[in-house]
Amino acid sequence: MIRQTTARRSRRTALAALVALVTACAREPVPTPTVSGLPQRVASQTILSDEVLWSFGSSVQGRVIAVSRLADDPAYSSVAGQWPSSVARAPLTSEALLASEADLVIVADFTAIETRELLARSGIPTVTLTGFSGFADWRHNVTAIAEAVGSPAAGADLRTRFDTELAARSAPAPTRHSRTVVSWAAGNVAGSGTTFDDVARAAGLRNLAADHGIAGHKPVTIEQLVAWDPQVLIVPCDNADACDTVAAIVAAQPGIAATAAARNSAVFALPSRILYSSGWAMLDAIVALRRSSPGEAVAP
Amino acid sequence: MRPARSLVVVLGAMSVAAAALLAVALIVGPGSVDVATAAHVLWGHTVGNPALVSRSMDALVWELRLPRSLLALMVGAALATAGTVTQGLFRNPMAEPGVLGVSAAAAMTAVLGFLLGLDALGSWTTPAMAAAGAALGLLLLAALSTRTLSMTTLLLCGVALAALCSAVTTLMLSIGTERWDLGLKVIRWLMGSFEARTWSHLSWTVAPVALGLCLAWWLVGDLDALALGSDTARSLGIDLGRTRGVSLVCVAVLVGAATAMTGVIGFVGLVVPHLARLWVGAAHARLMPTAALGGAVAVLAVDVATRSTTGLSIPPGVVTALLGAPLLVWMLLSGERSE
Repeated sequence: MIRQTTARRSRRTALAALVALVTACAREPVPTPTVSGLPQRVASQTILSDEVLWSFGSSVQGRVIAVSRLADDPAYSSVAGQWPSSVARAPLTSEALLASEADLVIVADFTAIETRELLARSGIPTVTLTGFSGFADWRHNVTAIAEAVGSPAAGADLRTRFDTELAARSAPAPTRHSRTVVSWAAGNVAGSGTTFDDVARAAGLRNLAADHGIAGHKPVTIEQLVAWDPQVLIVPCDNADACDTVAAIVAAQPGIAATAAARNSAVFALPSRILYSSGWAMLDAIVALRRSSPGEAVAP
Repeated sequence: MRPARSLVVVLGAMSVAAAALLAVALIVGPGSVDVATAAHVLWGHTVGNPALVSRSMDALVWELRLPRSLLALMVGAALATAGTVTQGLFRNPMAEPGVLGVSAAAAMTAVLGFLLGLDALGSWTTPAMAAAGAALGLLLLAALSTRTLSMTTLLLCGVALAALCSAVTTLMLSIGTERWDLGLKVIRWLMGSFEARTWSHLSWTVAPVALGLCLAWWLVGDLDALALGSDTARSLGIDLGRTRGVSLVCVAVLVGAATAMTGVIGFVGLVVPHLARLWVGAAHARLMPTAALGGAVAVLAVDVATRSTTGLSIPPGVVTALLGAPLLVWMLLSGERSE
């Protein structure tokens, strides 16, 4: 009896110690330092911020010390080759970011959590961009970047120009009689809440994936694609010169060849830079999609 | 020890299962294809008049589901046969085709193709790159096998080759880590899939799998002799060097063809031969066809089950591992208890 009581007490003690240890080891959430003053050494770690900072003009460009490694990749970036060579192409390592002595780092919510926490613990002001889906997210990100670099006017001006261009390039809103479109990349479709959904609606097309209740980017089998039978099919191509070839290969693919899109020569390949863009190139995507509709005369 | 079941009964039952699964495979999935529609499609192509049904129904059944299902049968047979030969060659029930590193080599060159953007050139490029990798793996193994007589050494060389190829694959992924679309393609391929596999893929697979199965059948007597030990086999007139060489080619061709077409699907080559041994015994003349047919049925069943029970694209390799691993443990423990 005494032995049982002692054993029970030992177990309780051990459990209490374990709880205390876990509680002590639990990390307090690290607060992101707020940005104060005008940052002079800005490191951009996302393609979107590479593009937005460039769009803000020379007063901001001159304060950028590093851009992302994909800044010069034309398959992804709309400012490929534009940032001068004096601006470093920063690798996504924590060491490199610390060594750059940046006083503002722009990252994304998909940047490694370890990197973001290290930046915060090091006291480096950080802007974390969240949401890269569609026009609203773009406006939000532009505002956040503009405020962080101390140029809210540049941000407002960029948003105004975007909205003006958007209005100029958009078609009437789609109805249930509008042509249906699916974006299909590496077996994934873009449903509601995606950039492609915004772009398709702006182009006057019905996003068939969204119509079927798909939200976000989801994998869809080729059989499902054939069953949906889209009137327009959009696929990515890495190299703008090869887009026609890629479209022809996809259109001839067994299964897809049976769709209305393939039968009516409405399979189009858009450069990845445009199709995957969450930046200004979304407007180019609208124009490209509108050109896919017969009878559409759209100014470039 | 239980007497082995009648081979005819076992093969007959598995053939019926394969045919039934094939019929089910044609009607499950999106698009509301019923038995009558599937039958019309098949009949239309048989009599040379495929216009009997709508274009989309024809595409679903004839262009997508039928070749995909036939490919699943072929890949399952290839992997299970390769597993049987591997276990017979190394006289180790834990040996499976992947230990030779051929599938890892195929995966490495397939990933290289994705990294270089070659997959955009057409659906043939990734299988071609994977096949090249499998061939490279075979050449390396052949070169190594001439330098050692020890099976253990050869097995360890295969393990080293697999590790090396996996490391190179990881290196390539790390180089392209910011390219999210590359990562998506690579992961999807590495997980294995029958998605969008068509008559072209099937036609590319027929010759190497047929060759591999013929080689496996040719090896039946040698592997039975080898099961008695190397010295006994040698005394029975078996040329061990030739047996080893032909076995390596057989396994490499079968695994290389399967991996090139569908990516990496594991556990079939390990578990199915064990199951076949339980049913028909260890004699390779009975074991080989049973394992081949058993692998075919197993892989097709996995593909049909995942397509019919969920809208998700679950990789077949995941399911074979989830089912195969506990099954293997159960068989091993049951075998110990009965001994």
